[in-house]
Amino acid sequence: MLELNQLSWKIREKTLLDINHLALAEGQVMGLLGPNGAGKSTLLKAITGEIPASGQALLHGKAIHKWSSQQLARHLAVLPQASQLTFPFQAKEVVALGLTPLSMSHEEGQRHIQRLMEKTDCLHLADRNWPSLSGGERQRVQLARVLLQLSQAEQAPLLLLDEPTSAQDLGQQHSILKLAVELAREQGYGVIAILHDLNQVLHYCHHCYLLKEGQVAAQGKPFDVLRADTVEMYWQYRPREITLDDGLPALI
Amino acid sequence: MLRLPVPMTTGILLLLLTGGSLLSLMLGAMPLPAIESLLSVVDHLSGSTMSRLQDYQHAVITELRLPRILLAIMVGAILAQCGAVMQGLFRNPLADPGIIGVSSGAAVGAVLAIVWAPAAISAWAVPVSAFVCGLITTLLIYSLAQTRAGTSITVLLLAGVAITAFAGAGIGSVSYFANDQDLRALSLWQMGSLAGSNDQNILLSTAALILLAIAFQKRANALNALLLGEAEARHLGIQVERLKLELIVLTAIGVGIAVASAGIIGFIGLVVPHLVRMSTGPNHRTLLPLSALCGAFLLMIADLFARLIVQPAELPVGIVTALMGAPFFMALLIRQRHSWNS
Repeated sequence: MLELNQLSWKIREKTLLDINHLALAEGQVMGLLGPNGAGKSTLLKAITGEIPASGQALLHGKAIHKWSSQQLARHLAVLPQASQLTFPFQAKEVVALGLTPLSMSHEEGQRHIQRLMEKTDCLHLADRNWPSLSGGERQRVQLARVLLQLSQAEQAPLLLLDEPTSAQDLGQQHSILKLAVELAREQGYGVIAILHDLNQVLHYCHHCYLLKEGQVAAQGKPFDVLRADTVEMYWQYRPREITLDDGLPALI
Repeated sequence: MLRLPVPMTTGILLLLLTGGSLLSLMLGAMPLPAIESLLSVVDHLSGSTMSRLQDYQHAVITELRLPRILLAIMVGAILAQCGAVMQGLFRNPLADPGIIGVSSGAAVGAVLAIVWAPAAISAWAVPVSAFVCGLITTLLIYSLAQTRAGTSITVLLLAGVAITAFAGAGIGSVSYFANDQDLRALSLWQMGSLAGSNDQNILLSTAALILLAIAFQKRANALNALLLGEAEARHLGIQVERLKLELIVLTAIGVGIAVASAGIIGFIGLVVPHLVRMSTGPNHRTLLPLSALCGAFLLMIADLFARLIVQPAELPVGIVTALMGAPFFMALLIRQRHSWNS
């Protein structure tokens, strides 16, 4: 569904992003990894068109900049790391902003809002004011918003998650990633998630790309890419490889 | 935070607006009875002769008080809506056409036209010139305050200080060339006054209010999305650059016409959207129309005070709005200062 070719972005001769090829199929969860400053967020911005990268970015075979802004919004959504919102919206009103590119009746909208807030475990926050929410709560409300935004997609939607687990407690981290896997499996979502926890990549992602200095340093199935040697090469720390009781690999 | 239902708030504001209008008709240097004053307005509109007021009393109602009330309603509503839109556009609850210097910029344009435009075209030259200068000021402030991390509140407020100082100097030097009569008119107008209400500026501000209210309402959802941040709004399918430009031009029209009609009236645009947000929340779909109602009421009451406090003389209404608004601004600063240390 998503294909990037020769995507690059330079500022004054300095190459910040240089992706030869990257592809994501429907129903796949991709982990995006790399040390700080490797270009992970930049890559997400290049996909959405926020930065004027040169090269080709195709969503369902059509160049992303050729999509109408409304159609694109129905098929591509970004969960931001944090929000600039300072006004006292209630959580359910923030979720309702996801209706912006959609056309549905008020009742249908309210049903979707309720369902998605339940799914992202924030229905109990519905009437709370935004400024009173914690970072993790805000992120889950935003997740409900971006899922609402994708609820009328005609083709499989692409969901970009910018560090979706960074503000969450342990339990929430896993429920968010489980939700991503479920959306991919049941509704064909393509998901790209920037993650820092290598074990989460090992356990939840079908595929991973490791970035370094704006380039793809390694890619493949997480179990093949994330070996102790590779990790040591890119993060200057050598983890131990272990196998969990249920046979899953893990790094500690 | 507890919110009031929107229909109830609308009802309360409409009642206040009606009551305030009636009081403004009755009270002043010459107090007049309520029923007769109302009948006098009906007579004026329908040509009937129901009111038993004397001719000179009738003239006070129809030629002095009614036009002022109408202008107060229009200008108050325009300023409050422009304030609400600017706060949304800058994603900052402290933006106000007065505080960030847009009104001063528009005032320079108006003064230039007052002093130098030929009398024959001044009715149009003043608002147009105020709009152009207001627009230039807004664009300048916007580009100054825009940083990669969003809108810088510090730059916004300091730019307001600089532009207000610059505009003050500009208006001062222009008024050096004005004759004595113009000078008094200028200095009153600079402090904000509804005393200059006439058919022309009432008509112009009514037309502006209708245009702005419709144009803003159409963009209310987009403004809500913009509060999330520009990138987020873009991801929601909003054409952010176009939206910003449209909003800047529209607010410049509103502020230009308000300033041309009534001078610099500060704080309505700051205080009103805050009051409305506190009662019914920040959703622009309800915030914008309710701000218009509340701004109309507030400016009308401020003008009533301006006429009553030192009667038979009167204060410029801008002084009254500043007396109400400045402490409010201080209270906001005190409440929010902790979050600004960064």
